[in-house]
Amino acid sequence: MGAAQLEAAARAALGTVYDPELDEPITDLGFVRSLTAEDGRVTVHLRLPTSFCSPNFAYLMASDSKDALGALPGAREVTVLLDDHHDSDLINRGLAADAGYRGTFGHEAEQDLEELRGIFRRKAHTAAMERALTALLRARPELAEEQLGDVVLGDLPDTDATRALLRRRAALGLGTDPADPALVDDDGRPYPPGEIPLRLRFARSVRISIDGNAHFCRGLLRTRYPRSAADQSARPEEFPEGGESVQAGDLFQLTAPPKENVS
Amino acid sequence: MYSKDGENYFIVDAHVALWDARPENQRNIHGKQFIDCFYDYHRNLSPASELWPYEDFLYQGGERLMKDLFTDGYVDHAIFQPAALPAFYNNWFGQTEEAFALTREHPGKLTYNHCFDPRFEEAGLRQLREDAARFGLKGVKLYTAEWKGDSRGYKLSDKWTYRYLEACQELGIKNIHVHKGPTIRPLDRDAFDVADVDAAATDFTDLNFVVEHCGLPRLEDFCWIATQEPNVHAGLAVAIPFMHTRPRYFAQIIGELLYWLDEDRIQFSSDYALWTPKWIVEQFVDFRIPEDMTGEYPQLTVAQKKKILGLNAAAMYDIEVPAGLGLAEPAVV
Repeated sequence: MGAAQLEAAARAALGTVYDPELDEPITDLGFVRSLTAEDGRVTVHLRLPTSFCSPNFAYLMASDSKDALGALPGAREVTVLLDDHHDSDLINRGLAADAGYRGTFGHEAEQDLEELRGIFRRKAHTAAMERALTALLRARPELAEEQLGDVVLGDLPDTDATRALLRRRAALGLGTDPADPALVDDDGRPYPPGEIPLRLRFARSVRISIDGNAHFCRGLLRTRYPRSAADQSARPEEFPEGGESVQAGDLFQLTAPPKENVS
Repeated sequence: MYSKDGENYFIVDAHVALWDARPENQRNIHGKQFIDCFYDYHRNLSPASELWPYEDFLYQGGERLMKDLFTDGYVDHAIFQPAALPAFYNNWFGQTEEAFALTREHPGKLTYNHCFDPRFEEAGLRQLREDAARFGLKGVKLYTAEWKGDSRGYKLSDKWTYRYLEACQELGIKNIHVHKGPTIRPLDRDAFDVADVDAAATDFTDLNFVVEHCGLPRLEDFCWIATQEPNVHAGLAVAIPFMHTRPRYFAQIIGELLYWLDEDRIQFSSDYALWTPKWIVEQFVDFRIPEDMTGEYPQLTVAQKKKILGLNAAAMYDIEVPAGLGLAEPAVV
């Protein structure tokens, strides 16, 4: 595999690595600071919005990156480095030694990060469900919130929001059959009819929280590393700033003065 | 006081700091990383006209604080909420002596809340009793992500925290301000989890728990517990400046808070010196839920704004509201 091919394959592999909290690929978020691929050696530098981003998420993204790159046929040596984080030294040593989660963090790690991943997979599903069902309510004004309990996946239009919901359901191990109910709890069970407006409302707050964090983290990354703006792809949101008709590409607002990281 | 369109607003800034993050006070690289992180928050969310040079941001001093809050910022009363961060700063981040001296120099304008760290166990409990007597504490600020030795955080539900909260009950410290930073241990869990606030609020119903930046980045978890625990309140630190750069996102935050809590349990704070109160007060009084979002969220009322900007915190801290600045129906805590 040539260098250019390997680099393209490496970038595609990084595109499968998600920030679990923001439910987006690290490539879209601008977290990949640099990527080089030469003679089968792949080196990646990652950057995050602050030095104090939670180290468990930082480790997850870095170790997932190393795993994804290590699986490439042409990559015989993979180096992943996390830059400018309070735990950079610790995490980079752990990654270099393939020490694993517990080997990296020692007494601060108890078992593994699977429960943490699970929490955010469930949140991602809840948010995707709210997006799809709120879109349906807008498209069909005659439909009352209380009736959402009768909506099945097959009733949802073929849109990005519906496809995203199906992916999140599959990731959680929930059914994706057209006859499956759309508004369900984390285990795939429908809610009692009386609870539906409250549950939809709570799902909305989950969606707002994730969307809000995603935008704040993107903005902070651009403040910290102004050049990262070019690497970020726009995230669609329910109520985009500047009006509902705004195009995805117009969402960027560089609010900070354009100077490189203060030091 | 701030006046606009014939309405007068009594302003309580419920979260301010007098910090020193200058290089000579930085204990290590983390001291620099911490203030740089704050400065990026400042740069990211401030209007261009309100941006400070980095050097100004490192330390303000009492004179500048008084000017920014009271001369320029419309604030009637401000409450210090110090973070100690001894692992990052030689002489702490929050400047205890300077801030407390300022409260004595300007009676009636400032309240000094102190902080504690339950990992100091018995020695810290003794210190808390001394601090309560010396400062006349009505409240404390807890930064649960504080590093201490090889521990990088604690929870409100820890055994020792409960001992300290029992002491707070006994000492009349009724307002517990909780800043949920990334609490690292154990790393297996969500570092921003607010479930420990739920446990403490259930077990200490006579204390108020003010969750700073309304639980962000876990707004939904915060709302879910606050709707069930009447003694859980939302502090708007960090959340309210979004009004400028992302007004539609802020509309959703304030809309959710008003839905899940109510207008009596939300407190304004500038989080000075992260931001200054002047522009935030002006913009919040002018703030309207965008028209196309009023299907989801009702428009904010003047009475709600008066409560959020000052009357709620005044009620919690027994701060006297001058005649004519209250509401016909007073805010209750």
